[in-house]
Amino acid sequence: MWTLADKTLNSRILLGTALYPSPRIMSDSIQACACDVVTVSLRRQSPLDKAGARYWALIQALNVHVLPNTAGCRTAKEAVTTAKMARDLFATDWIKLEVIADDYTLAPDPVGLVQAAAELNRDGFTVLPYTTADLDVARQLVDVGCQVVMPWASMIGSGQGLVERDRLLRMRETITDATLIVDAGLGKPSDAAQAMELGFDAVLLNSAVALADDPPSMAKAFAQAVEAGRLGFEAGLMVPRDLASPSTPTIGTPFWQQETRQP
Amino acid sequence: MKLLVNGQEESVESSMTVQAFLVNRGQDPKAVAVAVNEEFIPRTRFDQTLLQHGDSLEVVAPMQGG
Repeated sequence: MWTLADKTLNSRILLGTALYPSPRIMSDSIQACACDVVTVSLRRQSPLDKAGARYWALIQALNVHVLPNTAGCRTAKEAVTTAKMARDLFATDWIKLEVIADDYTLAPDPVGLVQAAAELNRDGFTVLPYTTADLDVARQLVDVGCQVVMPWASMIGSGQGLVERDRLLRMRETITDATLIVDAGLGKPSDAAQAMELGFDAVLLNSAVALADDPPSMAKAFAQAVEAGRLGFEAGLMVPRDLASPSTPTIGTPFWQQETRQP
Repeated sequence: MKLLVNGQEESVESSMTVQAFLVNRGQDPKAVAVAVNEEFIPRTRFDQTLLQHGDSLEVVAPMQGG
């Protein structure tokens, strides 16, 4: 059990609901990793399109918390308006805040992000901002009231893993007063285990599971990796050493001699 | 009068509220969220918000997200 903002959760995975081959495989994947929180989004709807209602009914049947995002927003104003629409529609004040600066890297716009986060925090939202591994931006997000910060490991959907490992480690060591979730870029279960070993509180995934050949099995693999990584972090990792050090006791070793090499 | 709805022009006969506009269009007001001219309109104000000629609406529903 751990605490994310105002909620007590079991799983340290937050799972995206996009890109799955079918709604059924999406549901199976959510259940396979036993996650408590899934991300959702908004889209323009024509009167004839009932897909949104079907999707929402499917998510509600899973009995999970939803984390709506502001994907696609380019300015703080767009993100704030989208967050308010999401709060109305999904009946939650949680928002995964995205203010995107660049279409190729999907990197966040740090100025717009901090500005929108401040405004939404003042308005009573629980803001989970998607950001880069930049420590100063993360600190500013905490300073404007974010209890949670979600740095990328590498670009969204890239599956490149912990490209930002060193900066993520520095962020975790520096920011001890906020929940930190690695969001975006994880490709393999071992990437998630590494993020957890660094001391991150959770991971947010989507493509790595949805684009696997067998998404439910991959969801389960990630769940085990996250659990292993967290347990490893809590157990206290050994400090790496420069040279070999025998693990088998040397006292009483058969054929042991003081001098191993004759002059 | 003309409205811009989700980026596309639509004509309606007379001035009406957001609530009436959605119902006329066959949309369940409880299943969508709305912004008018980039300002969020809470569902509780759908029946008090009068649309004007040239207004730009966003009408959104849940979808998959990452």
